[in-house]
Amino acid sequence: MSKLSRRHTIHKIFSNEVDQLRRIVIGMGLSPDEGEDLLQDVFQEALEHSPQDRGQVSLRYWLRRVTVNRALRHFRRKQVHQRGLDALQQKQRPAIPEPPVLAATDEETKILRACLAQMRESLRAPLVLRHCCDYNATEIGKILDVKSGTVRKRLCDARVQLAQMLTNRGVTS
Amino acid sequence: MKRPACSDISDAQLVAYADGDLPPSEMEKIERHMVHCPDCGEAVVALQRSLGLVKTMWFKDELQWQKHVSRTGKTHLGLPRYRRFVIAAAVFFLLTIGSIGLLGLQLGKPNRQLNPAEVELKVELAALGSQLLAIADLLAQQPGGEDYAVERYQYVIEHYQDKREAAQDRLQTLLERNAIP
Repeated sequence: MSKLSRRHTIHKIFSNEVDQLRRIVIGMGLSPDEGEDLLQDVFQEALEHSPQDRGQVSLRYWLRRVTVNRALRHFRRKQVHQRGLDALQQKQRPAIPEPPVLAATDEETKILRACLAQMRESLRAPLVLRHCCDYNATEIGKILDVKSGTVRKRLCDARVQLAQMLTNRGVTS
Repeated sequence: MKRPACSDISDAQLVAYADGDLPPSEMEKIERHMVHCPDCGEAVVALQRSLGLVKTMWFKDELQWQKHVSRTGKTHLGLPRYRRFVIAAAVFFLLTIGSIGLLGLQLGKPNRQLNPAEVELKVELAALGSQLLAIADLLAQQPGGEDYAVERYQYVIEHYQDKREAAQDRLQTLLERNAIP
């Protein structure tokens, strides 16, 4: 396959997949700006490093896997950075009390984000792929390179853990 | 979501029940169990509500992202780098639509001798083919514009008989130039 036609193919597959890739990134908790940068990097990586000996279907799974991995990595860095900032703020000034009243939905969203951030990556990724992107267990297995039985187990654990965390914080009651 | 005293129903069954993924007989079994097990009932509510909340949050985030993209014009393909090609594509599109419209007018008429205005039109159409070819040449010379050039050459081959050979030659050269050794 010539370089041009390969680029054309990757461009076409990426354009078809971009909505799903965007959902993966959203599910992982990245902002639109961070997400667009990340997708641009994924596109670039696809042009430069995607496996050349595979068909379009494999390329789709490759794109999804790269997006999941990059999103998880980005999120990890973001958490480390945020922890650093928090520590710095704690040192520099006395703790400021949280605003006492927040709109219920804002408060719930904040708690939800915190709970998802606390969840193990091995559970968060299948949860996002299943319920944000609507992939089934077999597809998720291909993306994450694990067996579909493992995916089902992790999905169940993720759901129970999420419900548990939210209940503990008084959100689901 | 705590079910300390319950060992009749597994977590997996409860999650499947909450999502409605069980066969009817299993659903009934769990419903019968929940009549005398409030812990499992609460767990199902927690499972359903937590998923509902998280899906709503993702949905809102997606909408926010769409707004952000439409406001900033920033997309995954880094289009600003290709802006000049987008402009060229727009010009090409307008020219194409115009030529198709004019051709359509011609096809609708019976075969007869052409009047001076129609001859002029034919000349214009021929010139249009040359212009499209020139645009494709221009794109082919720009780094990163090869994809667009290929599309335009193919269009010329398809729609302009008198320019077909020239377009084929140039397309061939372009593909050879960019082929992997």
